[in-house]
Amino acid sequence: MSELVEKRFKITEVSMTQHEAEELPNLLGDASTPVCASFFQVRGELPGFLLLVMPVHEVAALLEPLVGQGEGEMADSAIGEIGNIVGSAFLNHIADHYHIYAAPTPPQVFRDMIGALMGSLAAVLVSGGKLEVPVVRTQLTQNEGVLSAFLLWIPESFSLDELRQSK
Amino acid sequence: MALVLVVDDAAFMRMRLKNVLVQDGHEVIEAGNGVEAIEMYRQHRPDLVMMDITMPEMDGITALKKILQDDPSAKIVICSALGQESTVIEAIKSGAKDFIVKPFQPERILDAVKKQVG
Repeated sequence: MSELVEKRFKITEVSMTQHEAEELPNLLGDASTPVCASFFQVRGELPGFLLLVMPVHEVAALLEPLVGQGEGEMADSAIGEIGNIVGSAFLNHIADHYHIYAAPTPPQVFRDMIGALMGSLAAVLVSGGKLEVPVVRTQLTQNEGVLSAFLLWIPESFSLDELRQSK
Repeated sequence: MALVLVVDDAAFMRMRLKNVLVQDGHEVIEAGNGVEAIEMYRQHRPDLVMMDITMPEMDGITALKKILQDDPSAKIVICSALGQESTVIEAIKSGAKDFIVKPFQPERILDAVKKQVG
């Protein structure tokens, strides 16, 4: 991500927690916060969901040097590609470590309130019989503290205990 | 200078690749997925293809195999964020000449072009 946007980011938090699906809308704080998100399904031996979430009011500063604008078709394409690169790097690391295959679908880009976005995901999980899910959360912060981004990985087929035991 | 077919579903990434290649004097044509790539390849017979993997309609590995079935001399370089070991091995076994993991440095792209088309 740092290479792509030519700004240095550092990982300031990594956590792995178990949540009921209905808790997801409030997972990242105020549910009414407007965000940009790259959303992926994960295929292969680790099916699940991957999201890169960035607050709307902070993302324009990231995109303008790259595409000349904070909104529009090219800006959304950039958000999707940033998510693809960050999410794929995360999956590459896990896949190589455990000698498995895990790949994201092409990204879908959303601009919505974080609560609405996570609520939709919770509905998908519940309709698939997943009432409780593990969430791996990584926070990325630009060194100047201007932008925080969250990468959320919600695996469908592993329990939190299995993930911890496999480390 | 070469005619390069850039295949990526992200318009943003096509723009970045095109900028790097055009500034080095190459001509660029674009496709947004594997199906378009096969059609563009048949029409234009480019000197080199820079191919993403994760795309809608048809992924880059499938498109690579189909292009090589039509033209075994096709030169295809994979440029993808999906750089896990099994994927790199599959791409190279399928006939890719090189594998560049995103995000790329412009020099890496130009080196790959130089190696393939001189």
